[in-house]
Amino acid sequence: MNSDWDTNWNPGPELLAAYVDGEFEGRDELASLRVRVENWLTRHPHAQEELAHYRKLRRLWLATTPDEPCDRVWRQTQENLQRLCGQPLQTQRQSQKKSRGVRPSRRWFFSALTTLAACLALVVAWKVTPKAKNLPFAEAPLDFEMFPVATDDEVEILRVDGEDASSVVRGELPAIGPLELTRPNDVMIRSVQPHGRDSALPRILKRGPDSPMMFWTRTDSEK
Amino acid sequence: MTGAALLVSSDEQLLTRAIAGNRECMDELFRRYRLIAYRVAFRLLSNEADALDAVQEAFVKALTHLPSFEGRSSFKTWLLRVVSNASLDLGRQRGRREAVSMDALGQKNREDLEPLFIDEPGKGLERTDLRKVLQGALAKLPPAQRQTFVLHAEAELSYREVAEVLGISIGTVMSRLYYARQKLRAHLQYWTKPL
Repeated sequence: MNSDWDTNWNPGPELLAAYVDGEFEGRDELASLRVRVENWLTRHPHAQEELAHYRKLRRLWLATTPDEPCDRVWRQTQENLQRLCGQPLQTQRQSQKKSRGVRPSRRWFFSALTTLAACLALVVAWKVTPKAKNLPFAEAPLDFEMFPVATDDEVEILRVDGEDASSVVRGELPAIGPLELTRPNDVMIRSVQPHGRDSALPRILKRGPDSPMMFWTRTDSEK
Repeated sequence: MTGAALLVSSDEQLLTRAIAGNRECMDELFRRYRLIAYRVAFRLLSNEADALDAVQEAFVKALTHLPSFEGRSSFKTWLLRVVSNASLDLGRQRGRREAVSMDALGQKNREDLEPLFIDEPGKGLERTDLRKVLQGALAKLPPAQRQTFVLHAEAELSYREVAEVLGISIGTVMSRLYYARQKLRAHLQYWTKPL
């Protein structure tokens, strides 16, 4: 622990903060790191001032803990909750919509558009796929607009999560070229991850008309 | 289920019954976590009415989506994720209703005030004013840093739990906490300098 390497070691402010926050407590795997930080602190007393800032901020935080609402307010909130949770979800959404008032919702428009596109794609796939085996792709009867794609002026970005997102790419298709529907056996779902915000899992039906659809770009060599 | 049985039930037991539609168990979950949910919401919104709205919205969402709760995290961390996201959404929708900032106290008054002696209540700023000062500084942080800091400092979640709630790495949690502290320290240096 007293090697030159260790003498030059510096925990850095983030690790120091973790030490003050008690992140090393009760964690055997971090015991040696904790000792190392404590040794460093004894050799660098000036760092105590930094720690004092952290602790003062902590005390300031605790001293300003929000007051608990009174019992009447909690009762009212609980009654609202019982009323809202007591309704079936569908009714609840309707009543929430009513309370917000009617307002133009592009989300519904795009949902409807997507559903329409999906239905259209299924119908087209059903009718076209057998012929496509015999026809060159360019000659397949797909020269109409199968899949409506929103242009950038039709989309309003309401929020982008995460400050780490330094830029938002818009208006670029994920693939360039004609798209073709995959067949059911071309797609295998290996894992499904929950949504980052609320852990909700998508419902995936593996068989029947609701099977997930995917599109690929045909390269020149595949045509 | 008796009141005593509700009190000694674990969250998992309550959740199982709540999913089956037991209203008492839902009420008990609300009673258990309403305060921590409110404090997190208040820290993010700086306003009691908005915080209560966020708490209500979050509980409605959580309790009506209990079947999608997989139990990979605790109910508390799952709920706090919903609460903090609902609070940030509400904050964006309504804007900051109150211009809480240190400027509200006035630069001149601030200069005239005694430094806060937190260990000696009664000296320096009143608690309510002090809270406004702190909330003002907090409101100046970027939302992601504010959310991370509040979940750690107010909900007392560990770095690992915060990472789990926000779906980010522990390194990102440490980084956000560091920058949040630096900024709070800069905004609050008059009140946080070591005695």
